[in-house]
Formats: sequence, structure tokens, C-alpha cells
Amino acid sequence: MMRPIPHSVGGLLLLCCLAVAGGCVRQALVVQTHAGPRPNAPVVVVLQSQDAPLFAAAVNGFVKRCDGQVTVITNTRDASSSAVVDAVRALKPQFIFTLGTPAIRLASKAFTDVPVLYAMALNYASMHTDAAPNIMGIAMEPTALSEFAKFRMVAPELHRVAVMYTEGSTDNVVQKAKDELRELDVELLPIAVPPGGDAAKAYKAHSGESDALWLMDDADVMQQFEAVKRISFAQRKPMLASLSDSFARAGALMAVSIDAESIGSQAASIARRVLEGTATVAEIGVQQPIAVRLVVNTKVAGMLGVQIPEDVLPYISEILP
Amino acid sequence: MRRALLVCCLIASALAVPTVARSAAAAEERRLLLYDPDANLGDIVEIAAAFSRFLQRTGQGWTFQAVQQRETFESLLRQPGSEFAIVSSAFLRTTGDNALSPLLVPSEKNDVYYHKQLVTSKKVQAKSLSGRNIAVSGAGDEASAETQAILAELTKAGVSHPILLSLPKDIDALMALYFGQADAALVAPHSIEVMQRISPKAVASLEVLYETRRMLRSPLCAVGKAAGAKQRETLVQSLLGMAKDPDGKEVMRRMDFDAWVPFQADMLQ
Repeated sequence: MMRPIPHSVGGLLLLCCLAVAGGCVRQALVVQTHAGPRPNAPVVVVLQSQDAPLFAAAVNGFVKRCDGQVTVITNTRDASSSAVVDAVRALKPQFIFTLGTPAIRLASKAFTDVPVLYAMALNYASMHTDAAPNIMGIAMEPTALSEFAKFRMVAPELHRVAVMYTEGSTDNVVQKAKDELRELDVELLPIAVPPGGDAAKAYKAHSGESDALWLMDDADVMQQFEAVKRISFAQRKPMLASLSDSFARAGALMAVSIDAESIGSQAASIARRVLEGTATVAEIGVQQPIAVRLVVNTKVAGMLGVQIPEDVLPYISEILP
Repeated sequence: MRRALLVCCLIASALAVPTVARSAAAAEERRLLLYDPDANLGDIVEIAAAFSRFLQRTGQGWTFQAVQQRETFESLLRQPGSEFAIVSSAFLRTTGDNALSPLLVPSEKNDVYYHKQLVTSKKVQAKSLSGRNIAVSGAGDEASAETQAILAELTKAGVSHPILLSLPKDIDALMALYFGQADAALVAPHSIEVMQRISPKAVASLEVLYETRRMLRSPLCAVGKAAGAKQRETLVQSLLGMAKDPDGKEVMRRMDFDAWVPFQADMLQ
């Protein structure tokens, strides 16, 4: 029979007052301990850069599924690096899970003898290039394949999708996506936009053969969202957006983003496999986030005449009226 | 002096009226609790908001509160006016007969039962799932009926220490399997039909390893013994009309059912 996997057990809340400023004691590190499933469960530390809702969801998913005694350390007010490192070291962790870029930066320098898994870190790929052998991660961005699997659930007729990218910046991302999406019989039609160029104008000139426009994670193009949206509405072609739910709220038909709680569950599974010795840090490497949230804007669907199949409604994370 | 006294009296009476009104409202407060320790936090926030709006619209004085800690839930349940709760059938089994009894059961397409399938890639044998990832949807915690049933089957097949990966929906569990991030997925057959539309190739490589028996849907609306008949009636009537309200409908969509039906003892057989 399986061992019971711990749930978030009340926990002991210790407020560690570590920073003193202007004569006032400030709470810089918040330390919360969750009892493990058994007395000798491995000691696991979650180190988060700040107290943020997305991180809280990831911690929730992690604690529910982790097989260890989990202590969550939150650097709420920029405690010094040494104070954070001392707090972690005092617990003698056998596994460290970090949330946020500052947390992994600190952990990768300070802890070279403990497996460290990061998530929710921007620019993880550049960091991972020089990473020490004890560092592994969960990427911040879902793959194009996982995003389009969700888009196709709502719009199975999607086959030819335009995508804009900034020349010399995200070319490789588009190429990778193009290759991946063949698996779903989706043909990407790339539209190059010169750096600082007019994305709406480029889209207007090349949107002809596409069923929809994919607004992929490209900062230069994304910041021209409103102008591109006007063209897409004028041509009655839906926009499918990456990165954030807010694009669906702002007029895209659908938007996908990472599901933080699932990332916590994914991290717990990785922790368990590494701690039990069934996977090595090198084997884990950098994994893709396991699930994406899908938000659908029904008002836009109505305007564009897109029929959402009734039977997929329960599988949509959020339906905007 | 007299004028100052009058002003003081007016202020005091102005403060007193709402206080009395608040006390009366507090005395009549009726609270519906939701206890779901394994729910996705984001989902819970949305469900709580939509449920509150729905209950407010019924005008019967009901409020809604979602709870994730068992101790908090049990303590709230002992408070007057908080004798109603939406809980998993697994939770009801652990509390015995005394605490709560089922009142309403969720149904989907006129069916109060459901079943799930453990699917994997055709190349994978049951035995090789030891220590491997099994993707389950949010409600599929260790205590849930379908997970227990499948874990029992796996144990019989000699599988030890499978790792449960929690995902928001069955379709996410299937996708985790499709993308190679899980070795098996515990899902409702309907999610496989949806996956077929997304990628027929992905479904062609799947194999059903086990199938659970038909089980009563969860979560149930349950009632404590201290609850009055009138309270019970107002809540039942409100919930039975839930699908007609946009927020009620949204709650049902998120919780994956389309109607409540009165519980009958023979439903458990």
C-alpha cells in the first residue's frame, strides 16, 4: 500500500525577526513548517523570493504532495543574503525548492551540496547554462505544443495560424514552435517584424491565409497588443495569447498561462524521485511546466462567431462572460 | 449643555441601530461551508466568489465559506447556523454516521454516478508503474474513491510507491501523459473523447489498464443533525435552482456537474 502523502498540516508559524532598521524590528523572513508524513521524512526547504499569490499556489501544490518535512522560508522584506542562507542552512535540508529569480540566484551560489530545484524564475535558460551540477528546474514558459493542445480543445478547426516575431530576437522560438506544432497538424505562418517595427501593419499585410493569430511570448510584439487587436477584429480572426490571462480579459479569444499549483505538484514529484534515488539531477535537467491554464473570452467568441463546444466547458480554467 | 447631550444621544442611537440590526442578522446567519483540502487554490477562490454571489441573489440569508483546513472546518461545523456543508463522499466516510448526512448529490447528464479509467501508453505495463508518475485531476486525492480503487488495483499488480501528480482537470492529466510528463493518467472516458479531437494520434497510442466501478459523484451537499427543517428546505430549494442562475451555473461548471438531485439511501448500493 502507498505511504500516505502529507497534506498541508496546520504547521508551526515562526516569525523570525532578522532585520533591524531605524531602531524598529522588521519581520524579514517568515518561516513556516509543515509536519512530515513520518518522523524520519527528509527535510525539504522551500525558499521563496517574496510573498506572492502565484508562489503561494505553488507552495500549496508542493506541500500537498511532498513526502518530506517541508519548511517554507519567505524573504518578505529583503533580508540579507547571509541571513537567508543561515536560516536555510540551520535546517540541514536534503532538498531545496526555490520560487522566484532572486531565490535561485542565492541558492545556486550558497548551496552546492544539496539538490536545488527552481521554478517561477525568469531567464531560467540563461541561468541554467552555467548551472552547477546540483541545479535543476521547471521552465517558466509552456511549450507551444501544450499551449496549442488547449487552444485546439476549444477550436479544433485551427490549422493555419499566423505568428509575429521580432527579427533577430525570437526567430529560434518560432522555428521550434513550428516544428512542434506539426504534431497537431497546425501550420505556423511566421510574420517577421523588424526590431521596433509596426506589428499591426505587418499583420495587416500578411494575415490573409491564416485562421487565427498567435500572440506568442515576444515582448516587442506583445506591447503592441491593442493595435494588433484592432486589425484582428477588423479581419474577424481570433487572437490566441501566451503568457498571461490578462490578454483574454483585454480582447484575445483565448489566453494560456502557467498553472502555479500544478508546478508545485510537479516539483514535489521531482523532489521525491531525487530523494529516493530514482532520478538524478542531471536526468531532471529543465522540465516543462506540466499544466497550463486556459481562459476563454466568450464575448469575443460571440463577436467572431466562434462556437465553443459545450462538452469542453468543464475543462476550461476560466470562462469570461 | 442640553444641546450637547442631545447630539450625544443622537450619535449613540445612530450607532446603536446598525449594531442591533447586525446582531439580528448574525443570529439568523446561515452559512454553507465547502471543505475541499485538495482543491486548486485558484479554483477555490473563483468558486467561492461565484457561490457567494449566487447565494446572495437567492435572498435567503445564506453566506458561503470555503475551508481547506480540516480542524477549521470541523470547528465551524459546530457553530450554530453552520450545519450545512459541501464535502467529498470520501470525507463523509471518515466522519462516520453522526456528523453529517448527505442531502443532495451532484449529477451530470442525469447521471449521479461516474467512473474513471487508468490509461497509459501501449508500451507501458502495469508493473512498470512502481515509483512512476500517475497524473490525477484535483479531486483525485488519496482519499478519493477513484484513486483508492486504482491504487488498490496497482498494489495487487505489484506496483509500489506510485507518485500522484495533481493537475486541475482530467484533460490536463491526459496531456501530461501525452507530453511524457506522466506515465499514466486517471481520467474520465469523456476526456479521452475530447483528446481525440485535439490529437487522434495521441489517443491511438493509449491503452486502458484499469477501469473503476461506477461511483457516486462527489462532492455532496450534507447536513448536520442540529440543522432545522426550515433551513434545510430553503437551502435545498435554492440549490435545486442553481443551474438557472449564471453564477450558480459557473460554480457547477467548475465543479463538473450540471444539477443537484436529492440523495436517496439506495444510491450508495
